Amino acid sequence: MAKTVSLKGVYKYYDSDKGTKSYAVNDVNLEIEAGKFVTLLGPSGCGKTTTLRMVAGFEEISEGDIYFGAEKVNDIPPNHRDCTMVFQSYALFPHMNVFENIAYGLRIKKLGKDRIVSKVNEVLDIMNLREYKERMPSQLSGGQQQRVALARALVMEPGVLLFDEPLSNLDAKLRLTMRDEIRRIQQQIGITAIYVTHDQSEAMSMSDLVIVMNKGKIEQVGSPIDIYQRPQTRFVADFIGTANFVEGTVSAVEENHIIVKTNSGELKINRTGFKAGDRVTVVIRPEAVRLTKGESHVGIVTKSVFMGQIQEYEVEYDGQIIQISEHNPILENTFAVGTFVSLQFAEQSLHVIPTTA
Amino acid sequence: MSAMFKRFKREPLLPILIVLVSLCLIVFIVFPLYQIFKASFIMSDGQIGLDGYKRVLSGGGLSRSLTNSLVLAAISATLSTIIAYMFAYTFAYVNIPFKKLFNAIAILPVISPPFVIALSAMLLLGKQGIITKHLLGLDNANIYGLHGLVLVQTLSFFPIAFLTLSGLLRSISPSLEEASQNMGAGKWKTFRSVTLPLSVPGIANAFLLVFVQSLADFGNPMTIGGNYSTVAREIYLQAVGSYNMQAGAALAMLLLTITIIVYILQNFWVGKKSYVTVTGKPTGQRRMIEKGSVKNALFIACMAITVVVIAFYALVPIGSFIKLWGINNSFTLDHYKYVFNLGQKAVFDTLKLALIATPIAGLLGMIFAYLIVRTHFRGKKTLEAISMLSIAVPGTVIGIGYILSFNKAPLALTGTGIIIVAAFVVRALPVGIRSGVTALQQIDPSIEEAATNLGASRVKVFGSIVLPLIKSAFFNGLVNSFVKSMTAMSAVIFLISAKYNLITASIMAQVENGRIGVASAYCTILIIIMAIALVLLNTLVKWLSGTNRRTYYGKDS
Repeated sequence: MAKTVSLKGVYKYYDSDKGTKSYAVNDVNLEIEAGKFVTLLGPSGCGKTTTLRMVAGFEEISEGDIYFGAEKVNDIPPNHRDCTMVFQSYALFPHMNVFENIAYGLRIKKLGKDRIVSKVNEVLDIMNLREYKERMPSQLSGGQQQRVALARALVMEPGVLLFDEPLSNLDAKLRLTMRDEIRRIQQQIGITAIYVTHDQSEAMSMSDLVIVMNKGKIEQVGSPIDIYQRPQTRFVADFIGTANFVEGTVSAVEENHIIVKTNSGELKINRTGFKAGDRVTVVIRPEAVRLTKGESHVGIVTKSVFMGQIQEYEVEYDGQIIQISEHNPILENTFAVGTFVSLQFAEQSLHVIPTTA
Repeated sequence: MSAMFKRFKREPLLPILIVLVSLCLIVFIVFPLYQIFKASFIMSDGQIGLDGYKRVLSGGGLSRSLTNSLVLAAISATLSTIIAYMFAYTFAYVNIPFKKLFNAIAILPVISPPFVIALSAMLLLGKQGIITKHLLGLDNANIYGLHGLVLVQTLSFFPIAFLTLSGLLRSISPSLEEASQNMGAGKWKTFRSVTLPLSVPGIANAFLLVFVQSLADFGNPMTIGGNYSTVAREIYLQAVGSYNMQAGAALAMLLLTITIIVYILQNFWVGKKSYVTVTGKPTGQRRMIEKGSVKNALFIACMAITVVVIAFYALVPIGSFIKLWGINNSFTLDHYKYVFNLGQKAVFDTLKLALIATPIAGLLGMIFAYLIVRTHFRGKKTLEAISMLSIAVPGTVIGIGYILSFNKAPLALTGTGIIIVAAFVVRALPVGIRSGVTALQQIDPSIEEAATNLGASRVKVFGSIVLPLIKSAFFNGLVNSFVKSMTAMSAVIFLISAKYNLITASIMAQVENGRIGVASAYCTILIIIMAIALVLLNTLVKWLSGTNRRTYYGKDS
């Protein structure tokens, strides 16, 4: 049975020598619906893994409460919590074969032999591992080990499934296959999943909900589209994808858009909720800028690199370097370093955040 | 407070274990050392004073034993390190035949009883020795004294240095030497400017290891020391021979201070200086020296030492069948008859006590290692420091500490088997802890977390995951405990009684009475028992690892 997970005012802090507290996790509040796939995303040291480990019970909670469904789990030891985890290093038991690895938790539950065999075989089939069941972990490839780790967690039919950067040890191609597979299985079973990663493309492609964390705090909670197109803070805008920031002031507020005055002219942006005079930062994604041979908004190309799908530029514009990417570049139409270009901004794709954020 | 209580309720076993283990350390290591410290300041009339230290440092026989020990240790450590470096270099850099043989020879003295080399030194080089009397025709050869001790200690201790150095030389990346040659340096220049400087920390480490071993050595000075008195022997003679506890304790304190200083030097100064870092990057195979005068010279040197070691070991069994070495060289079984009649008790007592101590030391070592590596609790650092420092405590110091601590209530253990077992365990424990710690540090902690996450309790995790994974370290610990216990001498010589006698003590008594043949017979029997036990233990390990893998469930389908 998929369970909801709630974190209410959760803190993790360590007492430092000087008597002050250093916060690893700082006032995290979350409501995770049953059956959803939720990602904790952030740079290393942002508290995402610590949060996950508190949910699993491997770290004591300094303050606050964690609930699975209606049950408070703070004082439930990790071996009695209704969650299983897929570890970054897979953590397969090296002295047991695939079958025994998967059966380990069922044996601890003291299930009958027949039940164990049928349950393990079932999950072996889901994960396409049947032919490997007598192999030792050392005889498996990285991707197969990953699938065994997932099978071992799934077979327990937990209320919550936890993932701690499970794909970071795989090569790039395999990572793409595995993330689709994890998502497919999660949806097929309808289990609640909490997934920790620092890889934004993983977060974007798998999640129902992304939680961006920084320095122990939640920066933003939202759907993948939300956090990319409507970042609430400069950190989120910068961390998810690439972003250019241009400072400005709101000069006029109209019905469904605002006018922002910047050093190099005015930008019309489809956003509301600001008033005239507000200091704002305009977030410009590289793909929201189009380059043409220089007329208005003149800049000079300082870098031009062909990357296959896209052409990457850096343009010096109003004393600032703006990163720009052009899709489907055609060699004849690209701009060389030193060319004067004008910048056109797609107003639908521009975003504004208050300068303080 | 309530949080602590909650944790206790959740995991009652862990605090109980911690308390138990700490208690063991306090009762059997800290308390005896404290007793020595106290005794070294208490004069015969019960007053507190520095008489003991005054006697030790006043320039008499006791001061001489101190300087003697230091001189002996310096010479033995230097020679051992040189021989060991040559052996280790040959192993890592030169392509020679018989490497397996050399390796076995280099390791043999580590597990052999302490007397074997001293006994054969007498048979070879003593008054009636094969070489001295029969080959050289010397009538009054004297093996007893500094030169005899240097010979015997060097042969006994160079393997310890060899094990350290060969590990180090193997871990020097060949690419460093290739870089040197690539820049134009010849082989000799490369050795002098790259290989040798890189091995300096290892050389210092090996030197200090042997230095401490030599200082703490008790068996060799007892048998072959002659008039050359050393500290470890003097402690025994003061405490047991002349009942001067204060002088014995003061001497023990000084010896302990020196060994701990050397130990700290070795671990914190030399250890930090190591240049060799282990990277995950595989480096190419080293190109071996295939021919030339260097190869020939090294091969001959290794061969010579090997022959000497083999000769030393072969002589003892031979000597055990000879009526009166050098005087009446006829074959006899009398020595064995003597051992089977009068010495039977010592053999069975030793075996019994060693068999009791072995599993205790083995299991305790693993539990200790687990607590050190995987748990957090207040005082852990102290516990760890004490358990590690106990490596540096010489056996004679433990011995005198035990007679001072356990001869009166509440812990009147003198004369019992318990106190001997305790000494066995304490002497074997540090090595067991070390190998357990190393093994555990190589296991990814998330493997244990995965088991917990799947519902296993801490006991279940230890039994089903940790123990199987550190199995080989565990059995190494068992083998080490058994070997150490069977051949123990320096600590337990203080503790034997009419009720419990030990083989090593019997051997020493026979040597003192000049009955070299009987001593040789004891030694031979001891070697045979240990060989049988090691084979049995090895078979047991193989049998266990063959069946405990639970593969049978996966086989049907």
